[in-house]
Amino acid sequence: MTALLDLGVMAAVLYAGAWGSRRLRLSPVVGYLALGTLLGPYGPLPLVRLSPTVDLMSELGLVLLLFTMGLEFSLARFVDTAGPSARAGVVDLANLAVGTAVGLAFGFGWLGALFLGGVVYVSSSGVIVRLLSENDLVAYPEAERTLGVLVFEDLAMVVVLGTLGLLTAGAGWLDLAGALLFLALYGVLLRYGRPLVERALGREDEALVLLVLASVTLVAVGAHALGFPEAVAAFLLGMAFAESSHRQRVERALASWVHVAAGAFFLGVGLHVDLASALEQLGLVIALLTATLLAGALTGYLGGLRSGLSRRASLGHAVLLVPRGEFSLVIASLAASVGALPPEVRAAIQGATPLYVVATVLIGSFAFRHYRRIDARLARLLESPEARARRLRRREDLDSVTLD
Amino acid sequence: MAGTPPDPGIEVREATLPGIGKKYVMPLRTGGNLVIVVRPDGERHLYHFPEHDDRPSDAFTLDEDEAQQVANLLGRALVPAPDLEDLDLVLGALELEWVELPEDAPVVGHSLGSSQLRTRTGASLVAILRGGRAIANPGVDVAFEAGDTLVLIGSHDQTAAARALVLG
Repeated sequence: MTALLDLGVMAAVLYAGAWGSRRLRLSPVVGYLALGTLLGPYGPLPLVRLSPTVDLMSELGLVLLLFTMGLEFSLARFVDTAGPSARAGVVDLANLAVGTAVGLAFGFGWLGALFLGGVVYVSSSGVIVRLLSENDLVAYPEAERTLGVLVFEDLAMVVVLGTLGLLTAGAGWLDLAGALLFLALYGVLLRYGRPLVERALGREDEALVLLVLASVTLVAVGAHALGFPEAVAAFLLGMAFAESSHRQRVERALASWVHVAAGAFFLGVGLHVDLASALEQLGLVIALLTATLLAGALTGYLGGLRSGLSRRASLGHAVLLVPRGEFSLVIASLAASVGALPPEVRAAIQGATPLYVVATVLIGSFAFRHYRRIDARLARLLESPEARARRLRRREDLDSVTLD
Repeated sequence: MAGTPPDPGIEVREATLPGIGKKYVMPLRTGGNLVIVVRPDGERHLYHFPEHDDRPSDAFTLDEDEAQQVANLLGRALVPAPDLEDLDLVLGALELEWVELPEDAPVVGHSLGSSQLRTRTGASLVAILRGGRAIANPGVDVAFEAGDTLVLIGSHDQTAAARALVLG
């Protein structure tokens, strides 16, 4: 019964985390991380133990999260908006360099610094989409650009992670050959496997969920065995399934699994946080926040301008990209399993990332909620004399309208 | 099935907002843009962006039923009205004549063929309306009954002659 007890406690804690986050109008990721840290074995109230059950769910959560990201990522849709998004996305890549520079300054070495760069680079689609909807900002021109850049970031990060995976796969040529073999198999699947995927996913819902669960886990394990990062493999599989006509059915069939397992993953990240030693990383967290918020403001603004947004919308674009989330935590947990990294670097990334993510979600949520007011202030600063005259004229026009 | 609405030739930009839905941007001739965001659940968000402005001056949300009703209202006003001048042009030389047969009409009981309607008057019988049904393009062996309404087509003189023939 221990396993069942562990699962029950985990579900109850996740429920409490989701409920609390909703009350505070924050992303549930914040609640899961906070409760994991507070109720975990190193926290002040150790109610949840590190159990094989939570480990299993958390591992599953990692691959399912990446699989769903891949599923939502459509290459066709990306190419659709590639022009402006790519122009802004290329500027946005500077944040990867900024994070890497901070890592180097803290003596992480190139590999650790690159992982840290990845942690701060990717903004959170999950958090941003939710905040855009809640605050009714979806029609703003910068929302479209921001969502496009998020897709660009996902793609860039998959490439970076894949490359890092290849670089750290181990010393031998054998590992590199294995990883290349995986990519070759994937290429074959994309090229020739489409009718097969289409037919296989056309089953009724019960068979569908089992088939998808089996393929995601087994492909992840297989990729790992070949020396290819399992998270990236899950993303690629999601991308391949997204090209079929059953994309939405797969998403629906898997939805409750993703809720539970992704929750377990975030909770698991929290459980591993030793608050005392995480607070030792406070200097790093503050350095990261300062560097990335400043750099993000600049790259967001310039990227917005470069992709054809107005100055006002470009500032908004910079604000919208602030929240980090699931992908940062995924990268941190990947870093934790890379043997080539010194233990103190792994510990630093593991300790700093949840704090950094929570800080950006809090700052981002605040900014989204007061977006209109902040935006109006910034707009006054940027306003040209003609625009000011137009605005005043419009207000006069409105004032002259009466209802009778 | 409704026919395809005429294409008014206004460019609408379409964009996908991943995780949110579809966005349509339509420039207005009076300046500014109409922006419509369609959610997967059918909800429609409408925004008016004034000219030279990145912020909507007005916004509201319709659920699926409300959106359908608005579409009906807009669509109703857009059904092309018949152009009366064109109609005159086409029908200028033609007349449609509706003739109801009383019981004592001479053709009652006789077939269309035996009445030699077309040969003697030049007018064509395009339909017989009988008891709420229409017999379109009646054949020569169809017999006239009292109470039939005949739909005749021809020039003014032809239809007048046909009317005289069937009514006696």
